[in-house]
Amino acid sequence: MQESGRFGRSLDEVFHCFLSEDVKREVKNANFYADNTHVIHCLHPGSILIQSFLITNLAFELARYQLSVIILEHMDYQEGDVLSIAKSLIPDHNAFHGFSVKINGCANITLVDSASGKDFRRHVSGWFEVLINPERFLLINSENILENFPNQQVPSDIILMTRTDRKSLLQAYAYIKYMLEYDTTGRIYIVFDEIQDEEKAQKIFTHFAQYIDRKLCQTPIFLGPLVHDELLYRSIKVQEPLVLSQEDSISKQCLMSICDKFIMSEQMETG
Amino acid sequence: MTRILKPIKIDNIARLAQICAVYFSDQYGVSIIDYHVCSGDRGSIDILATQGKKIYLMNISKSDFATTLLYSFLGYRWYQENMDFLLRTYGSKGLSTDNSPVLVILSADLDMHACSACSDVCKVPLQFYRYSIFGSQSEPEIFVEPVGGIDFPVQMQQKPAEFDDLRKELKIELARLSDDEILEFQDMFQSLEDRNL
Repeated sequence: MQESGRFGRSLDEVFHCFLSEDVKREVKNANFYADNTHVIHCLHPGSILIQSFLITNLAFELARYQLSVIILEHMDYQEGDVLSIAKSLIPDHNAFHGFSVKINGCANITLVDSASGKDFRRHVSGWFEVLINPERFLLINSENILENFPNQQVPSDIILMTRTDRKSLLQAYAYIKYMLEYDTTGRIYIVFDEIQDEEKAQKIFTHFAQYIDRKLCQTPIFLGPLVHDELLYRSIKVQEPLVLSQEDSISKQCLMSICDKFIMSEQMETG
Repeated sequence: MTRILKPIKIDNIARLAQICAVYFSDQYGVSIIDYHVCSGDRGSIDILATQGKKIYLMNISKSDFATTLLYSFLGYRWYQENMDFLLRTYGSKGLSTDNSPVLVILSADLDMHACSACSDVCKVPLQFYRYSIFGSQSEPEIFVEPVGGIDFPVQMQQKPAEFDDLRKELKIELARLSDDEILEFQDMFQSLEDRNL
């Protein structure tokens, strides 16, 4: 039997015509978040400095893959923010509340330094309403206060950095549990900070992930360990992203591996 | 005048197991599941007890250290082979597949170096205790000390106020983790440490 052609249009195709302007905007926003923008919260409950360090380097790696990045920064203090990690690349960072970095051959990185003291959740939501460019990644760097997360109006993935001692892992578990109460759609990436042995890190993650899977019905994705070495500390000291360094080191390899796994995972998800 | 107490010897293993069980129950909050679960050539489990997510296979020394150790290992193998049966029998008393086993050996005479070597070599966590019994046969008093540095997890004795302090310190009050959840997580972490991770 031959399939007959379909007459008319389905409800899915025409329902936009009958929606109010507010509903249309909500549908448009929802599609926009899903199709164009990856919203990533990066958290390190134990160290704001290493959190900013990862975000800065991840932004440069994404730019290297021709993926545009916006970093939304929301800090009450200036010590250890993205500005201080990449200051050497910014000619006059005091002139604006935002700036762009463009390196030859790479996509644009824009940093928006949001005013502190405002309602963080409302600020992120409001910022999305003016986001009309086809930016691919919005990386959010804020203080690690549980009240700030998650934002139900803005679905997002999370990169959670943690050390592997008892208290840090309990803290990471608590963060994951709290976030999953509000949003179960986002992916959770885990990075183990300051662990030297990659094999040991993998075993700890397997044990930790099985526990989260059993208790919270969520499987986190492991991006790898971040080993600290001399080059990492020097990169922070000279305020230049480590991924731009010419020298090779264990910390740089770890960082590149973390970024590669993250980008591959995000690309696989969106096809 | 100084009076020196000399330890007494109790030959009745069933009586000795009960004295030890009362001690571990009072001191560490261990729940006793049953006595003499396995004996003879199959191995030896004199006391089967649980605490948190751990199951303790306790063995009281009846002869030399090597034989006690061998019977303890055989008892562990019997426990693994008969897990289905044990779950049906003791499931209601707290035994579950989530429990990670720990071998406990109690002896009146233990060599610290031998205990330490066993703990290094074995995949399954081992805890050694030296005991002495004073008093009389009718009113015995037991004295127990851990050998080799591995003891029951102290977090089982944490007080509610300590959990609150921990939540404040880690700034995780909003996550509303209960005391039991924190204990369970700490047990999970303890099993990681037991595997030398």
